[in-house]
Amino acid sequence: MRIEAIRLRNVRAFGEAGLALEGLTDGLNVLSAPNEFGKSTVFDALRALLFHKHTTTHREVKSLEPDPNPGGGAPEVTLDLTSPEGRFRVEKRFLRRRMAQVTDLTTGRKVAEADDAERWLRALIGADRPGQGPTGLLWVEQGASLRQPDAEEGRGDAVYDALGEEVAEVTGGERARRVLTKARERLDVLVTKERRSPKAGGPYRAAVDLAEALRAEVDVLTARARASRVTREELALAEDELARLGSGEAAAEREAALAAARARLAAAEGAAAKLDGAREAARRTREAEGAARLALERRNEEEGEARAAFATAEAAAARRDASRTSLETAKAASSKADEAAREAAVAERAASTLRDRAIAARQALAASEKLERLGRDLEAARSAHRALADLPKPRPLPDLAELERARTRVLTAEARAEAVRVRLVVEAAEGATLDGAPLAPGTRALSGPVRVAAPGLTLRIEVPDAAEERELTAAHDALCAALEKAGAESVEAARSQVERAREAAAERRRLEEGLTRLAPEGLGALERQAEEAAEAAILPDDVPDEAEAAAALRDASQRAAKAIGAAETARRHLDEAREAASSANEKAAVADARAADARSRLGAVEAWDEAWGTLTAALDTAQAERARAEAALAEAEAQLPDTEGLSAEVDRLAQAARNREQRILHLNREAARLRAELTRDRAEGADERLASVKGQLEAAEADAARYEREADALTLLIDTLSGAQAERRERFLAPVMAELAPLLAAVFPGGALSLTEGLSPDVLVRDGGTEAVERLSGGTREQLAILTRLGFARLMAKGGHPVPVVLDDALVFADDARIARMFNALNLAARDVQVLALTCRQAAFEGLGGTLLTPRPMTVS
Amino acid sequence: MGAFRFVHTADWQLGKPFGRFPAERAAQLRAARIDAIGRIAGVARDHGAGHVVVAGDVWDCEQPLPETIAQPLDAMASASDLVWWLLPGNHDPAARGGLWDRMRERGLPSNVRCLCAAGPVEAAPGAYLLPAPWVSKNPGRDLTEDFAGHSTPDGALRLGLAHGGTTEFRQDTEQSAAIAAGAASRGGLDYLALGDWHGHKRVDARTWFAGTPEPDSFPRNEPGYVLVVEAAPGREPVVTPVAVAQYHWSRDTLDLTEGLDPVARFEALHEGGPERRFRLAKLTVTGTARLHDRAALLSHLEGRTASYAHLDWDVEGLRTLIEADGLDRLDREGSLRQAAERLHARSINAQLGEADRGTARLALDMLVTLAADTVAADA
Repeated sequence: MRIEAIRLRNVRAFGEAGLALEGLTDGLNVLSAPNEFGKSTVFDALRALLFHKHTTTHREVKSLEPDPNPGGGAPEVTLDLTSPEGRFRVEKRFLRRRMAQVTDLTTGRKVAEADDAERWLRALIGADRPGQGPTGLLWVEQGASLRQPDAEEGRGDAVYDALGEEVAEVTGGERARRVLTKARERLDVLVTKERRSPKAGGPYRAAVDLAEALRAEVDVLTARARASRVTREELALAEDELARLGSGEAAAEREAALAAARARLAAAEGAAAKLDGAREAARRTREAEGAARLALERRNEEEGEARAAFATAEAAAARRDASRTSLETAKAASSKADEAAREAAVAERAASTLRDRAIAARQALAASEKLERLGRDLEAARSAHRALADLPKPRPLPDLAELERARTRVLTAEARAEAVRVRLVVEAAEGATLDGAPLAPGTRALSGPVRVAAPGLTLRIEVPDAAEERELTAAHDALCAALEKAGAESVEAARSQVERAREAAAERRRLEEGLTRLAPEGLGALERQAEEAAEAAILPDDVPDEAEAAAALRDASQRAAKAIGAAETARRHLDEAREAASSANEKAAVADARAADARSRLGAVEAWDEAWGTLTAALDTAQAERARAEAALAEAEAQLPDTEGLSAEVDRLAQAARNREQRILHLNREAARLRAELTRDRAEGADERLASVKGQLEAAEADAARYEREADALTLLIDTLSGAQAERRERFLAPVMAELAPLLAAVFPGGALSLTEGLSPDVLVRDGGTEAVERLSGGTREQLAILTRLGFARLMAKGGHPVPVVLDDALVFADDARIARMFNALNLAARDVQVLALTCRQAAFEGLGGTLLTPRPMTVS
Repeated sequence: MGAFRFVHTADWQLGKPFGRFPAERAAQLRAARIDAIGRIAGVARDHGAGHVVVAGDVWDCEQPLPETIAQPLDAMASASDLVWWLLPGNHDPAARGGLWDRMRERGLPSNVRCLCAAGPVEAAPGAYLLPAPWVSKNPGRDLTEDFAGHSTPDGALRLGLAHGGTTEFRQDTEQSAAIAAGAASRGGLDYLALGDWHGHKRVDARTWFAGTPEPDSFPRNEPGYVLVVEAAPGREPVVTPVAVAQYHWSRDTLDLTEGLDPVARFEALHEGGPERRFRLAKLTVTGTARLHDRAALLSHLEGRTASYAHLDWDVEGLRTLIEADGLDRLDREGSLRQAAERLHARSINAQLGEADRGTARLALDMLVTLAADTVAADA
């Protein structure tokens, strides 16, 4: 549709005279008027006409009421438009004398009235034809381009919805969205978003949890039911055994058997008592026999011992006699050997003395040679010693350097003094004297006052007291003092004095070294050595040959050693003989004592046979008695009944009876316990509860499986449907983007824009970067919103559904550069789209171009 | 001995928990089994029978809860004009220390008799019951073989009570308690009252299964009856099945063909039958349906569940016809239609496993149902 004219009367500031905006062109139309003019009133009136029923009392409509309203006229709005069906006028009056009507401007025929007119209008703008696409118009309200259509206020929704319908039509529509929403809601109840696992609080998770809990319960109840069955079986076994044990017949039989066994045991025990006498007799005879045998054995043993003692005593006496003889022989041998040893020692000492003399003679000869050498050394040493003593004592040497410095000072002082001295130039000195001495011609330097006398003349020449002279005197004094300290008369004398001292020192060193070599331990020591050598050199008389003397001594020593060894051997033999004799004596004494003892105990050897016979006879008697007694005992034992066997039988039967009683007691207790247990299990009705829980488990598992299938199916549905939507949205948006591109290029050269699912600007790409639209400045966002709307409008226009775009005080935030580009974009869009721009910024919008609308009072009624 | 009239019933399976059902429904189903006692008493009185024989599986398990024992006994006691003869079966064998011992310890009502031991019992002058009770879970032999060995006075009426499938049903091994054919004639019986098979069934002229009086599962036989039996020595018995069930369990099939309204077809299934609140139905839907018919049926079933004691359905076997018209109704060209086409393609893709195809079918069902809901919301 295209708007041709808008008229209003009794709307806010436009009273009875009303306002008419006429002659709107296909392209860009601009209403530029100051703030107070009421552009927004035009905008709101147009909106009221299009989107509110004439019967409404909506506050938006009420706000159209003039205030004050002296005439009391009702708000009226008229719209002239062109649609594919023709040219029409839509008129509405609100609040009072309400009216709505549509007139065909070509024929003047009234097309619709009242509610029909409303329906006609809704059909025109597409508000009541879901799925048919919008043919309404696009608004950019003051500041509203910055936000999404406000559903609460109900304003702008219709247009947005209309646009949305277009999108929805293509993408599968509102129904698809709702299906998707419902499917998501259903899925969301079942599973978690991230992992699509059963969601806590949802029925799926509840079924899974319930199934798990029931499985555990089934396990518990199964165990309990099984336990109950086992208990019943145990109880049956216990009762059966009790019945068997408690049977009267069997008990009587068992008691009779026990009584019979006891009687047999009593009889056997009587017989056993009689046996004890025979057993005692046998024991006694066994003891008697043992005693007899022991006596015989002891006699035999003692006799043997006595015979041995006799033999031992005899042998010991023989050994004692032999040892005495040996002792005497050894004594004689020892004395002889001692004598021989003494003689050999004497001979050795003589040989030794002779050899010592030979050695002494050899040493005296060596000493005289040494004495001669020592005499020579001593003489040299003494000479050196004397020479040393003759050498002058070393004195401290003068300091030659100091003397040189003093002399240099004198020479220097003399030179300086000479330079300043008064010169006495004598040119002719005939008869003149100087200090008494004849004065010769020539030049003289005066160092002190002089007296020149000539006949008739005496001249005393005074000399000034010069510093140089004083220095000279001081230098002289210093030199004299130094020479005196050095003990020299002159510097030269001091120098030769030093030279002499060095030579004397060298001589001293030479002498001292000689003396040290000759007498390292001193002269005294050398003298003592000489005296000792002199003593040692005295040669004895009658000197024997040393080698012979040594050989003789060796022989004598060997002989002496041999003799001493022989004497020691003889002495040892003597000691041994003494020891042997003593031992033989002792042993013989002991053996004699033992033999005597044996004899005293056993009596005479002759009587021994008789004693032996007596003991043998006693043993024979005891053996016979023992044999008799044992035979009697064996006979008695053979006749005794098996009391042990009988006793064991009685014990066995009695124990069995006790066991049985205890078993019965135990079984009764066990049965009672099992019955109690059963009562408890029965009360719980384990089987029935188990069956019930199993059924519930089956149901819970089926539920869980069903929810799982449902979740799978919902997931598949959601994926498939949203996939289809995405594809179709892409396809739908392509032409929108194509329409938007040139507009965008006009304002943001090189820029690109993506749209959200809700068709609002999403991301702006420019200068190689991406920016979320919501983060852009308000001005930029507004510009993008306007461009987007223009883009849609172009698309619709090209699709044969032209839609006007109304801009109410748009671009308030645009700077100068940007606003110029936006004007370009508006003009570009206006080639296909009808644009109505309302602005109060007259100066800023001067450059917009387009058709300027001139508001006039309303003339058409 | 003249004619002896009695009611033959079996398989009460008291205490069966029905745990798969919600707790409230399970309680109702349990209660219905106890209530059946009163209805059986009514049948006996109506037919002039003084005795009711229950041929095994009176209780569902060996160890029921105390109330599961007490309440039915109280119900039998209150029908004091009748004598109730109870036989242990495979579910409730008379094991030592088991349920039957507990009942005896508790004290049986004077008109209730347990048949826990084999051997003739004179129920009425000249009328002898020969029970073949189960005393363990696995007797391992055909207990009816003993009947021939139990003698009764000449001319007496011999009524056998036994529990177990006949060899006709069971191809078991030798150690089986299955009852061989001809048991009644081999045991010299005038009538053999059997339990175990939950539907009522004539085995031979003298042998019948009574079936359970109150069904407990979706049957393939005919439960919900008791048999009124008139027997006389040497004569064929006269057996009359009488329906006593409160709840009706049905296994229904809906075979759809394109073009017929599936909702109407479903509604016709249980039209005129017992009230739906007493019906437990297991529905299998097969055949072919258009996309929207399918969605409509599913949506209808969902809504109808509340009317039934239980209603569940299996549409795995229902082929969905996807055609342009159906898809147009869903969405002419939008993403809904595209998603539906893709899901359908997946649901018939032979490359995928059955589980994946099933998921795709379910997703498509959801898509159509949700889309239909949104249309309804728009309307």
